[in-house]
Amino acid sequence: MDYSFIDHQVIARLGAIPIEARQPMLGNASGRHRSPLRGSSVEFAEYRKYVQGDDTRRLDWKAYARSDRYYIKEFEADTNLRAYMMLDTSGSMEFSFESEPKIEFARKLASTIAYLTVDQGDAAGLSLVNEKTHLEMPPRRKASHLQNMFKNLNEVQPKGETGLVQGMHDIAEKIGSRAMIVVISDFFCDLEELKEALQHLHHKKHDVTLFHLMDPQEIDFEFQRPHRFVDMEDNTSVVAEPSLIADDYREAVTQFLSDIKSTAFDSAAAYRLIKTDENYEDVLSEFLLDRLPKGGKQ
Amino acid sequence: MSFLNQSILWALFAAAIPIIVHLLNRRRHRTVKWAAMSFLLKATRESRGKKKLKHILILAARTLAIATLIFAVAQPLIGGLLGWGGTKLDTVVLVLDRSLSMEMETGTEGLSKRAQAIKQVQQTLNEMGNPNLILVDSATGSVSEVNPVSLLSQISITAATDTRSNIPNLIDKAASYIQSSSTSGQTEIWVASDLQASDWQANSSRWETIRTRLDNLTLRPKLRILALTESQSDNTSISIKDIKRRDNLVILDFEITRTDDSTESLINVSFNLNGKNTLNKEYTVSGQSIILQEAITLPQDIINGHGYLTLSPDGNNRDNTAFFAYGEATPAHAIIVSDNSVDTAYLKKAAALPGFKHQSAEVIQPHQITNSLLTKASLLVWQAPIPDETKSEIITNFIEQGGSAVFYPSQTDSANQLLGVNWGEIQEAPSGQYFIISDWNLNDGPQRNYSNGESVPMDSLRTIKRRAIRGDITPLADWDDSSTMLGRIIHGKGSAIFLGTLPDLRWSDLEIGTISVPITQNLLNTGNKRFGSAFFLETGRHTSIADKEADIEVVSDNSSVNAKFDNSSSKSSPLYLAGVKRINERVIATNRPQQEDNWGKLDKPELDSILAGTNYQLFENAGDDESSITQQIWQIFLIATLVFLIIEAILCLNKKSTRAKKRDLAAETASASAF
Repeated sequence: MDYSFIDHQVIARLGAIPIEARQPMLGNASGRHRSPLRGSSVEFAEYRKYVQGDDTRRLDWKAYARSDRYYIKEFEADTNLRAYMMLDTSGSMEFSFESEPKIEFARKLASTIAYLTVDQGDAAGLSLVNEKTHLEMPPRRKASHLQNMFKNLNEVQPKGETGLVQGMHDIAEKIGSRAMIVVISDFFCDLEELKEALQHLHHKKHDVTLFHLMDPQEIDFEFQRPHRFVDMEDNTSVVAEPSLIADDYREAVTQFLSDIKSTAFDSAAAYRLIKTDENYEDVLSEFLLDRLPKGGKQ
Repeated sequence: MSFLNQSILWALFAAAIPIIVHLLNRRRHRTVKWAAMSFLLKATRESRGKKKLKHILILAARTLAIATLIFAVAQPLIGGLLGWGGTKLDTVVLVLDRSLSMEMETGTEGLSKRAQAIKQVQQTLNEMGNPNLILVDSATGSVSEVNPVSLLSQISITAATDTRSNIPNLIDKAASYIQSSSTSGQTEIWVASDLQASDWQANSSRWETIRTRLDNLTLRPKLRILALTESQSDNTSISIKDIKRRDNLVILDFEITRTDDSTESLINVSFNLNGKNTLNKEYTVSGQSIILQEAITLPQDIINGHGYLTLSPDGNNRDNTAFFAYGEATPAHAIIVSDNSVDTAYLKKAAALPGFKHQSAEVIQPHQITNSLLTKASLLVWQAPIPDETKSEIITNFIEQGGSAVFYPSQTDSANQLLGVNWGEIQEAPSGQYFIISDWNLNDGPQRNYSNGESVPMDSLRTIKRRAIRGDITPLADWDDSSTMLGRIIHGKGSAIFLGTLPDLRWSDLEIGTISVPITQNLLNTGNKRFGSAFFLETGRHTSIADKEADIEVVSDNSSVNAKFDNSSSKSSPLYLAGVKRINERVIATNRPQQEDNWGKLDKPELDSILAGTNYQLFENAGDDESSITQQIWQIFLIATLVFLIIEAILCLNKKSTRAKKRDLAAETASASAF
């Protein structure tokens, strides 16, 4: 089944760039990503002194013969990547002014990353959160799983207030540690609470990336005449004269963007502000390239 | 303020457009579903107050800009006779003060106040589309229509005069005209005057009549006072106070008055006698005014003649000349009528001073009084009971023709009255006490001050007996209990004086002479003025020559003695001009009324008081150039429009903070749009 948010040409172009983890991952299968565990792969890691309890099969007898000391020879362990797409599906994500809705942009980002992840043999999972519902699909490597993800992405309708912070805490607890978590949201939530959730994920050693979706009009606020603004999450409304409040609005947005960027930095999360009039392929390309090891390892 | 293009004022509704647009915009707001509500609410909270005020100021600036632009296009006229709320007029009744004081120079063009007022009225009426103009001028007192308005400056009834004005009388005439005329529509009374207090007569009872009359008019007319109070330069005037003939001398008492009394100055006076300059003399003047005396020796065999005194040109040239005429010296004869109850020697001595050859007096009994006896008398001294009707008629005829009469109390009673006055009861002062004179008129009456300013010592009189004066009489001196000691009744050209005590030591020490002599001599001189061939008269229609206007031949006047004078095309009747005139072989010198030398102005509170309740408006210092004011007002409105537009632009643009905030936002957005 074809979905509007899946563009195979974009996937084909982006497929040339592997999705790399920025830190060792803990997977459930062998893969191309480094693991924090030392294993029995072919790539030598280091020597260390034997301590009681070590597996004697991993003793390096040649080193013992040379130095008359017991050394354990360690090798890098490779594992697979578990990428977790976390979408905010609160009412505000449906906002669009003259560009496409934020939820549509989020679908494209999540589905493409999931596709590329599974395509390179890693596992992709999905979490859709709002105030009341929390749909969760654990990471799987199967193509059929990918289809289910797309189906859920296609069917989800943004509504209600955000449940992003609680969703992040839940994920942090459920999926163990060392997974790649991509959060796609407009982050219209309490920044202190968001900070705590990010710290929670960081504590679990997850590789977190925040995609911050904003409509250009939400940033620039270029209205000319009085408008009645209706909250998309709780339907409260306010009538305002844009010419009177534009400056203060922009100042508040500037402060918000600055604060959320600082919050991400403090929690070692990657952060990217995305205006919904941008090309999502460029955003993803930038995302993938940024994750490549700086030493040039493929 | 009024407008040349009044119809354009309808466009003032356009001033409401910014407000209407604002209100419509508020009502026609679009509904938008919005996600970033927290920022919106925060911005809305912070934008209250200062921003709202700014928005109101912007709206106000836009509204005012449109309003002032429309006012400018409507060409407002202000500073003249028109004011705020000026509407189209059908008739203007112009009361024009043509008194001498209106000839003071004013404004930058050196015009007289009268000429400036006429020019201003003409200009204003032209701008108003030439409504009907009815002129009430102060000199003739007539009501006449002026059509077209351009004639106003050319007709003789607006020309300069040397007269005084009776402003309440003129306004009353204007109100009467409106009351009696069949004119419909908006009518206004405009009064062009310098607000000279003596002309406005704030104490006149006529103001009450005027207020009532104006109040009773169906359409209450607006009263606009065009006050030309400011003068361009200082003024000095000269006037003759008295002239006496002594053999071959003419003795002139003259007064010099000036507006600038701050410094001492030398005033040059030229004396002209029978057309020849006989004397030029400088006098030092230190105060505001000074009374001087000069005796001019007449050539041999000159019996009658005339002349004038002139000053150098100044702010008002019309009061720089004082004319006089003289004739043969006339003996002053007094008739003393006594019932022999007191010694008449003192009365006789006071009326015919020893050494004064031209003065004589005779004493007669009351029954001897006849018309023929009084024909050549200047003064009648009556110390007897009030006579019967026949004798009273002889006395009143004498007074009517200009004679002076003084009545002393009689010891006996009489029920008769003379001119409505008779004697009351005789009163004696308590033992050891006197009746004292506490208050007397220093400027008017026979007890007035001497010409050198010294006063008659009325308060030195010690009286032990007095007689009350009964009847309607003008008091000139009062006892300390406020009853009348000396009163006067003016009848015809002369006057009757009633004096409440006798020059008898049983009554008072009046016989000492310090009081009775000046009083008697003043009355004698006044009565003597009715004789002779030379006269002094005031200019104006109230004088005795008013009915002989056609017979007046001008011997000399201001225009003939002063080359700088009277260049206007029109000229007033000789009746209203100072000069020397010949009427049926009589030579008369006419001069401006004395009131015109009182330069005091009516102030605003006084004007408010006399015009209380009327719909009046005062335009002070209206002598300025009206046309230039109109121009400036038009420009001011245009400038105001520009100012309001600039204010609106500054408030609207105010880009500095907006740009800074956008710049901050762009920088923040850019830095957040990369990993």
